[in-house]
Amino acid sequence: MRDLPLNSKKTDTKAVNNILLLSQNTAEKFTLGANDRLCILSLNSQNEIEVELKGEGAVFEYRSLATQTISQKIHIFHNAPNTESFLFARHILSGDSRANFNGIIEAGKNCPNVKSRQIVNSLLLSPNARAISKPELKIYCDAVECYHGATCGNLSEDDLFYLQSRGMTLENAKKILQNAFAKEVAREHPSEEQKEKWKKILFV
Amino acid sequence: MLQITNLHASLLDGTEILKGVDLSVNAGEIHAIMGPNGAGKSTLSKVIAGHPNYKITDGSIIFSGRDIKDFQIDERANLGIFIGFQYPLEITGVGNVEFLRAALDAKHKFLNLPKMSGDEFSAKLSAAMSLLEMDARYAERGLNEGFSGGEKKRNEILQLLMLEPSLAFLDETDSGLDIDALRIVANGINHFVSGAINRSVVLITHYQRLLDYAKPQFVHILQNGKITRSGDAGLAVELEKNGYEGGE
Repeated sequence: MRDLPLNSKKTDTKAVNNILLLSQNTAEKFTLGANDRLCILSLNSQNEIEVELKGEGAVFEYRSLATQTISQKIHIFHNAPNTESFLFARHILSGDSRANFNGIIEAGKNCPNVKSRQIVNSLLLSPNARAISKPELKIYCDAVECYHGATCGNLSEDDLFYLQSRGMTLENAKKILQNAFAKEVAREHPSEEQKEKWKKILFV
Repeated sequence: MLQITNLHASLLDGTEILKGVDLSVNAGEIHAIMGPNGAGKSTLSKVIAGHPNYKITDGSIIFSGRDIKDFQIDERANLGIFIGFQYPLEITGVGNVEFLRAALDAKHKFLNLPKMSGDEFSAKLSAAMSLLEMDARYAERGLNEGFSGGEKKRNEILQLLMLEPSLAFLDETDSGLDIDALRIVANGINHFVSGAINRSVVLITHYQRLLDYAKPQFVHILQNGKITRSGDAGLAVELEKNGYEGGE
């Protein structure tokens, strides 16, 4: 769970469109033109989203945190050269919670230099919690860079011990590590304002 | 301050690692524990900290008049035991300073002391960082995140200076340090000991070189789960020359 760099475009970028999705059901389709950039930050939102990257240089970013049962499907069509997408989902699941993440990437013909990354990290705090990550890649072009990865696990015993050895109670150590895991989702989101709203709901 | 008597400890699968350790550390003393790999040195420090992977099967650990054998990890820490780890962990997303603040607050809460003010905290932090020749950017980073081995060790000493325990058990704090970093870290340790009269340090090390800078009054050899010899600083010099299998 290291840094997840996204090579963002520095030139000719139109104003970034930021969307904050909070605890709601969202089904939407977005079309991005040349150099458009859409960044979604989501919290416990049941999403079914389609994105078409239609213009050269378009960028789509999706960052999501779920702390309850959730199902998300993100379908991205890279239909222009030099387009980028980044899907980053984290789950913190207790009890019988279930999280489903389905990221579908299609890189069309004649669309070289597509870059796509998909990361799903799930923290399972109870033996009954479950996380399912289903990445699908449909690649119709040679020059693409697509990556996907998923991890699953509980809080690290060593991390907990380290924090406790510095005086934090076990309960507090767990809280600190969970918060750190959660916060990482929004860290590189471009809108400070939305990050603040997102965090406010999460960390009250 | 610390009185360990006939300490036996095993892994959870029953493998005995410590086989009757006796060690007594008084206020204001610096001790060094040396010994071959696998002798139980790191285990000793983890058992004192209360690591859940070890079980104490016999003996006692008396710290400041109390047997802490059954105390929680955080209770031991807040009572004044600090373990400097051989491999400090990197914890992504927990800020270095945020972490120090949380640790100090936990300690003050435990000891029923008023919370340290922001100004006092900042002043203390910048004094400690400048003593350890740490760049301001350390403060902005995650806990040990992306730190080199030497930077992590320096960060352990920063925590030591901020938390001000009464006993510091430093496990191979000198390993992986270049000459300059070694001098800086030793300087931090000396600063810690001389900062108040009731502070003691136990240095676990393989090398004499740290002891040239942070001078111990007592040197012990831990072999096969037991302290087999104790002496003054001269013992470390002798070991360096003759090895652990060398003659008496």
